[in-house]
Amino acid sequence: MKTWIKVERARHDMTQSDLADAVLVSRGTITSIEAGRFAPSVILALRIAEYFKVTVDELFILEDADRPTKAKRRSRKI
Amino acid sequence: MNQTKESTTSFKTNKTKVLLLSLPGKLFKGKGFNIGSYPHIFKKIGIWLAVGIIVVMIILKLTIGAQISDLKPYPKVLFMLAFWLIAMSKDKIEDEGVANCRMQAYKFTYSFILLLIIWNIISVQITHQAPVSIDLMIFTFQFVYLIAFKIGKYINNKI
Repeated sequence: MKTWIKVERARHDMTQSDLADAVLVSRGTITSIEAGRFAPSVILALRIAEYFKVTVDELFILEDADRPTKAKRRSRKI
Repeated sequence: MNQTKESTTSFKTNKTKVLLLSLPGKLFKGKGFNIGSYPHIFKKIGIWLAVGIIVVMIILKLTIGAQISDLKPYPKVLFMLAFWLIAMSKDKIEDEGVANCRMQAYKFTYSFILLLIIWNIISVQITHQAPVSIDLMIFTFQFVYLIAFKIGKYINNKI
């Protein structure tokens, strides 16, 4: 999953701490979302998107590796 | 008619099953059995308790020359309680990122303890050595969990 949070932050001239305070999470959470280490919950994603006045799909983009493939589906069935 | 009766009974048994299965969750819901569910103040109490025990033990050793083995059961229990409080109480900001970190640390610790249990079985069965005691196992669990959680949080905070 790719995120545009960093770009939006730069556009709004905000630090990670500012955004963390605005959406009521810790700075570590914002860091790990930006680094792609952690996928946020729908509520947090909506909160961030609402803060930047964009939609969630503009902020988070699904990559090819995250898309379900036939092999993945088969392994899930087993 | 018979079919309806059967379906009703099966529905009833299913309902009982569901009720029975969800009972533990209902009993322990919000009772402090979740990870990181105690208030943040408990963490401070735990830290003060752990430090206090160490200081008292050092003072006792210096003044009356008491051996650690003489005082063994009491500090051990208190120390474990302190560690439990430190491990299970909330951080200043407890959000989903921290919860995720806790879950990862918990998973790691469980696998570590599982390995320790396997090691115990091997040592008893094959090499005929004494197994690791349960209190040491609990202490190891708390210690490994805390270290793993701290490392996880450090990695999360790293840019």
